[in-house]
Amino acid sequence: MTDFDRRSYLKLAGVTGAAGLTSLSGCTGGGSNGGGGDDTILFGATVSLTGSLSTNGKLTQQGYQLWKRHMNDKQGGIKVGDTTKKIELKIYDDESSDSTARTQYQKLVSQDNVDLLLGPYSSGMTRSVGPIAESNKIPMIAGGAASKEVYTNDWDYVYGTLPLANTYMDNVVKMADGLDSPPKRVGIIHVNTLFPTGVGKGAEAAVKEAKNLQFVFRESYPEGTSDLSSIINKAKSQNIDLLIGGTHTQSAILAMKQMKSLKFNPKMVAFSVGPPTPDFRESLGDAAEHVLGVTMWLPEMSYQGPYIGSAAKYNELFKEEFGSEPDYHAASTATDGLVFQHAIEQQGSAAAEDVEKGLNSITTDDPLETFYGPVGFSTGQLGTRGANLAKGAGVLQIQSGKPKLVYPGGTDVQYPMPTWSER
Amino acid sequence: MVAIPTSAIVNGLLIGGLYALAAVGFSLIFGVMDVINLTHGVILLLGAYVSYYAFALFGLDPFLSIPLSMVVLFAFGYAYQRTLVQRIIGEDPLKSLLVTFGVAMMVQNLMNVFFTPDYKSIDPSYGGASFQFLGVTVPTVRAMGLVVALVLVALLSVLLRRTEMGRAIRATALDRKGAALMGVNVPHIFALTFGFAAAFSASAGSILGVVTPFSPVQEGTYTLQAFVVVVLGGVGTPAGALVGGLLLGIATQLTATYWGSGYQQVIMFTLLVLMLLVRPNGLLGDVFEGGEK
Repeated sequence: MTDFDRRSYLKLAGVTGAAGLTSLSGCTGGGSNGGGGDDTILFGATVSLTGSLSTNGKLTQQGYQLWKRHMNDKQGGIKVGDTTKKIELKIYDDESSDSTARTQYQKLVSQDNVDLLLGPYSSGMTRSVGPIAESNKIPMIAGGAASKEVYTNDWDYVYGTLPLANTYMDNVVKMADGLDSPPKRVGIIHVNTLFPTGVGKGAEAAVKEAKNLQFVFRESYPEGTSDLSSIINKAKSQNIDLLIGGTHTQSAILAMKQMKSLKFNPKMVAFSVGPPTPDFRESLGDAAEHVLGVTMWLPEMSYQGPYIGSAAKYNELFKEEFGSEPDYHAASTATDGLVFQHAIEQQGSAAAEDVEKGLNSITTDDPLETFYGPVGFSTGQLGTRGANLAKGAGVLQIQSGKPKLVYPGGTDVQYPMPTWSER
Repeated sequence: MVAIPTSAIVNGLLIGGLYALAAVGFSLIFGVMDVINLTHGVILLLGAYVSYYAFALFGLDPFLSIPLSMVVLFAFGYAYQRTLVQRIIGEDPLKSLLVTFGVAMMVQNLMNVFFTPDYKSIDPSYGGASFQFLGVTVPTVRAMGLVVALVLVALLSVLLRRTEMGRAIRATALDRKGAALMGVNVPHIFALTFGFAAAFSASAGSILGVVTPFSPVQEGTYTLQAFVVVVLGGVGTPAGALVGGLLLGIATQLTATYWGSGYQQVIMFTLLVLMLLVRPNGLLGDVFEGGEK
């Protein structure tokens, strides 16, 4: 092989290797039948049933399905004026690819003639299909989009039920600020991608507003890194009391492992993603204890609402239907359906323009209470039209191997964390 | 403030040793067979899973299960080479990329099915232990990982230089026809090389499983990391992988210390691009450069 060959070979391989990272996956279309007849209302969506987003994609679909089955069984669907129309879903598998999702949303609108749209899973995906809802003037409620960037487009037809990523840590900061001897020095670390960066920046803003806390640093790191020692050592040398992480599960586990071996002993640690997942607790065992996480929803939360009832009731229905416990993704997506239902029944019409009017009357000042918590859409404040600004995140803590709600309400937070040598 | 560069260099060496061990197999396959093995990451992860299950099911210490994961993945590598990779050697390089990429996708999804996409981590009782070295807190498992990595890289170097088989491997890499004329069973030697390469990747997987959480989705990252190490250090030799690995480790740690961790990958790929422009065969060059293929 000549030098030239080898060089072009290396370049080619580099490009292919990089392409490999963006993992393509196979193609299967799936979904249920629909038809938007006179006695039905057809809702369309894509979810990721295969590919990298499939875990949460499936939960998204389960949330939609549970809402549909429960309402069809309980009251025959949605009351529209004097009649009751059955709920129909048309769901495609977008294979975790935004270009596939875009094609499929286009198809939902132009061929399947859906009445209304439900969202796909993930912020990035919602952002890329948003323009289809917008240009066809069909309202879409997303249950899986928490990034601010989804709502800064000033779209009139895109709504979301998850709280914004920027507010994920607000209650952690509020709780820490109100403790008797609060953790003073706060360090923030986060993955350098869209959602965790939103979490990190939001936490920084919240810490700067807190009375008793002092912001020390915020630093990002690449996704999938296998070493956080430099960032942990930095936190250690700066005497950080409260470490806040905008993480994915992988880096949350890694951070705890390295904090233990580098003997870094903050008084409090909170991660945006990780602590409630079984992976986190199984991988870390005892080292997972006392770590704080956030959750949008837990069955023990005291929320109540129409159609379904309490958070505990939703948990029960979900377990009956699917044999597993719902996490918050499966709760926020069922809420998408409930919000549509509320708007349709209130307006007495399922026509897109009427539903949009109904949705616009659900505001931060006048939120709709549901089993999942309050939903109130931003009318444009903070440049986040359509986002749910009415709901905050709950704070949980791993206590004796289980995630327990500690704020707002719930059991007492265990603070400060014992040092590693005390454990 | 003097402590910070020391800690960056110590931590860089700790992670760099693992980068080196992880890349040595990739380098060998590329040097000897001219195959860019995009299956590298999944082989490494399979090694991690062998150690994970040996620990979870039988309580076998992850460092003691390194030989086990090496044997299992040697067998996998040998069989994989004989059945698939052998067919594309000497053909258009694009074919080797496509075949190994396809197999990587397939194995990654099989791992998702059988091992779940959840993050796993091997957590022996001494997992959180550490000691002081030059004023830097060094996690014991990472230090053990570095020692084992250096020993294994040295072992491979001896194997290639001092043994009959190593000579046959090097001869085949330099001149396939010539080696065949001298009585070397070329496909067998290729398969052995692939097997050894897979075994060394697997050993890196076993150690990585202890120091960092892993999941099938990361296979691409590990393949790309090995690629960068080989481009930096040079193709075909354990020494090249060692130089590349340690350099990459130190460069990323210094970056993290002075500019912030967010710039680590920027530096990693800047180095890659610069090396491809200035010295495409790596710092130590390609030992098999100019061979008759």
